[in-house]
Amino acid sequence: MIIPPPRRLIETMYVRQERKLAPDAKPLVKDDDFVFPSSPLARLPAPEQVVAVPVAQALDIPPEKMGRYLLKQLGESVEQGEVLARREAGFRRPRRECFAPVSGTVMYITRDHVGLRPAPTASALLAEAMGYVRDLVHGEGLAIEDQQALLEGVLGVGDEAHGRLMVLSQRGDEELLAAALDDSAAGTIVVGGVVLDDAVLGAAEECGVAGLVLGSVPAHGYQGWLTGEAEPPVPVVLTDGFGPGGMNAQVFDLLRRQHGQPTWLRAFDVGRAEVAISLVPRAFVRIPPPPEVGVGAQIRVVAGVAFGTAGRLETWPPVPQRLPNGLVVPVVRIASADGQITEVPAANLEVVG
Amino acid sequence: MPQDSAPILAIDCGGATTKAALFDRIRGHYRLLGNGLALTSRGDVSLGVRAAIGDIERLRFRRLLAADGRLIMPPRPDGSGVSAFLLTCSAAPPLRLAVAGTGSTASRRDAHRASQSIHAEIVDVLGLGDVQDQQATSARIRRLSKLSPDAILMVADRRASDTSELVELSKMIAAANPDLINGGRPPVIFAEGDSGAGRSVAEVMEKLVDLRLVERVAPGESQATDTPAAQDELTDVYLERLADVLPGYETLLPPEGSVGVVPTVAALRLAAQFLAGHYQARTVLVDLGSDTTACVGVDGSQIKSRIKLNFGQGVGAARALATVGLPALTRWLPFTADTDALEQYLYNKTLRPVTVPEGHHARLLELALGRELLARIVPPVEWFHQPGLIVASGGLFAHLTHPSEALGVLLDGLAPAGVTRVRFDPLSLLPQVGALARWRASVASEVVERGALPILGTVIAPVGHLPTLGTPALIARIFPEDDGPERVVQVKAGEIGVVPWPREEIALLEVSLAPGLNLPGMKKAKTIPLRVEGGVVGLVFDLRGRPNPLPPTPDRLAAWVGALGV
Repeated sequence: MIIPPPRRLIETMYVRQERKLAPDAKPLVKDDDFVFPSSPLARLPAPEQVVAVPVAQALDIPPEKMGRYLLKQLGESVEQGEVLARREAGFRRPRRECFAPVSGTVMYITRDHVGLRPAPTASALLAEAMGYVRDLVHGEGLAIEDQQALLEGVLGVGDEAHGRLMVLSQRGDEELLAAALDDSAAGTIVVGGVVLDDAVLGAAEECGVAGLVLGSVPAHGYQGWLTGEAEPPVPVVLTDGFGPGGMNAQVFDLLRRQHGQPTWLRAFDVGRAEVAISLVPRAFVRIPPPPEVGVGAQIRVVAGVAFGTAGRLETWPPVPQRLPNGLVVPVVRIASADGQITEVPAANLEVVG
Repeated sequence: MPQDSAPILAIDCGGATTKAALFDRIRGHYRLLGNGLALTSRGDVSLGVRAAIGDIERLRFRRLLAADGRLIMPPRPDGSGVSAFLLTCSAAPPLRLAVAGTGSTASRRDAHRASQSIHAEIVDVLGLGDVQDQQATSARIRRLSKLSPDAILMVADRRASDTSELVELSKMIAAANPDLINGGRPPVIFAEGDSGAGRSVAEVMEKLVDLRLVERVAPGESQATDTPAAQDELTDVYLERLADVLPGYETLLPPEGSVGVVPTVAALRLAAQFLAGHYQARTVLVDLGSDTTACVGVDGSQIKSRIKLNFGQGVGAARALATVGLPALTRWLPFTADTDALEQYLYNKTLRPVTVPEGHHARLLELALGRELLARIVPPVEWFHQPGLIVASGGLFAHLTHPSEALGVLLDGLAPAGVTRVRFDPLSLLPQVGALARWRASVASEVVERGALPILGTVIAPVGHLPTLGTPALIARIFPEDDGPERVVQVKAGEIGVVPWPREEIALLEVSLAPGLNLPGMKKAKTIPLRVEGGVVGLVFDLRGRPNPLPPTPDRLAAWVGALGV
């Protein structure tokens, strides 16, 4: 029997992530600073990783002869794709070249290969988390700590983004219009109910919106988001799916209450879509376990006639029942917010919490 | 608990759901005792597996899991526990494979065929042309490094005698070994065939890459069937990867227990081979999965399979729609479809693949998608279209209002010609049957003989030029094998005729066909004698034309659906 899967909607939870600092890393933050995932925490020394290039093999020559074909010597710098060594064409023998796989400096030359140290690049340890810096100890580590709300979407496209949350709709089923977006939305995560017009996405890009949290988009024209053939101009998390339905009331209500708060949107794929919102710190609460399925559980209908209905489970476990289309499947009774009782296939539910 | 009880638990972890099945000996024969279903749990498959096992425990009042969550093995005197545990799995992402070959495209085709034996996606194809220009070689090396495949499969050209091409290709692969750049170390599997290039290739590669030399692409291609083939090595690589990305199944086993995991695709091949032998018939097995559609055909010693990833009824529905197009689906719908609503339904199904259709239109849309997936998965090989036995599995066949719906989908999608028995798999047991067949074929035989794969019926579908539509094309006189009244059925060109005939009862037929029609594999005669088996639907005479059936129109669709009693 398929038990309805959980769809995380967490009002508040405590998040702490600890990061180690190398002894020679130079911290760029101090305790109580607020950081976003892309914020640099510390400057790091250049990596010592060396890339070994099998020159003799690439030129098809005996190892002892490698030296005479080398065009770069110890200490010289090379660009990626530059010729490191060359063997000219000979009788029934084509010319052969060996290219540098990375930019860097020739660190060593052995009998049959050359070691390249990649060019030092300015590297920094990024926060890769959102929250307040705590417990910074130079040369040892720090923690990033926060009180957050978390909601899980059904689809994420376009990677991650962060910024302040900006709720531009009054209701979850309201259409987000391009005209609602202006310069004040730059760098923010905009929340909208339903997008029916492509122009909204263009306007979001034009205004410099960092990301979008949307209830739904139309099916036609947006299939590329599912197949990987198209990406929106800014990262998008869909909370409900495809169609004109918009955003369910539970999710919209949570987002509306957090208007203006720092938000981290993670939009990676089907089932890998999350929105984390930093809350004004209150008492710390650990991440609650996923909700249990049973009478009284908060649920949402995610397919079929009652798609979008939120409520609670009135009966559990489900009992097999014939649907109007003739299929016999396990069915439960749910009570919506207005007290109406509906019978729904258990497979078409998600447990919220 | 019966005295000779020796329960076997078989689990299949699919892309969307995990299925558990418990088999045990009842009155001396193995049969299905109970089955369970749960969502496949990402990250730790054991959660989904335990939930599916929990279904069986509740259904059969039998304890299978100990208090610590591990399987009770061996069984205890109180009836709890199992004596064997089999696991098939397709829940891991597909193996990202680069294939390389020299000379003609035959070697690359061989490599492609080998990749069809597991859950694999080909991310790059390398040929000798790539190593003849140094600039291009360098670009290919960078590309291959960047793609970072999970494995590289290199196949020697069956006709090549010059090993130098293979050596050049090996050098390129060795130079691209992503170990140099990002710490990965994909194995390179080289099937040397008759090329004799094994030693030369090994000299180039063995110190630089994890080289696995094999003789041939598929098992059984040469006399030396005891040595591993490229397919076996690919299976091993897939299983190594499975253990990495889906940890947890070991936590199900008792401390000293072990289990051989079989990739679901390999299990389906095993099932097809077993069923072809068991029923002594040319067999085509189709599986409509959530993410993947698979087809395996067995004709004597030949086995061919075709797997399409991202082409399924659930997770793969959006990509499947992009491939087949909306008109291909709407032609199977007996109502004027709102195309936006259809797209919306299938895209939401991709997001939430285990939801079930509630309305008539949604259900008919899922059946239409099933027809088109089937039509596109069967290889264009003649014997695939003239099977003696079809076995159909997948979620679609588990949610039917009547088994005749399954038969309708299979007839429309596969268009089998000749005389074909059709079985289906309402409990999605085929991967487990394959695993059982590998473990102990006698157990698999007993399980299928005891109702695991119910027979829908026998289909008689002549090939050739149809007479004018609406005129008689087939007359069959039907006699029960035991005593009973004779029945006569006449079917017109363009129509389907159904004669209910119970399961496990044999019918003797005398079939007369209109001029221009014949039954493949049967002698042309005025009347063709047949001995066929009934089924849940019965005997079905499909006179819609073969090999190219009539296209559906609203009127025809209504008539065909009506004839099948859907």
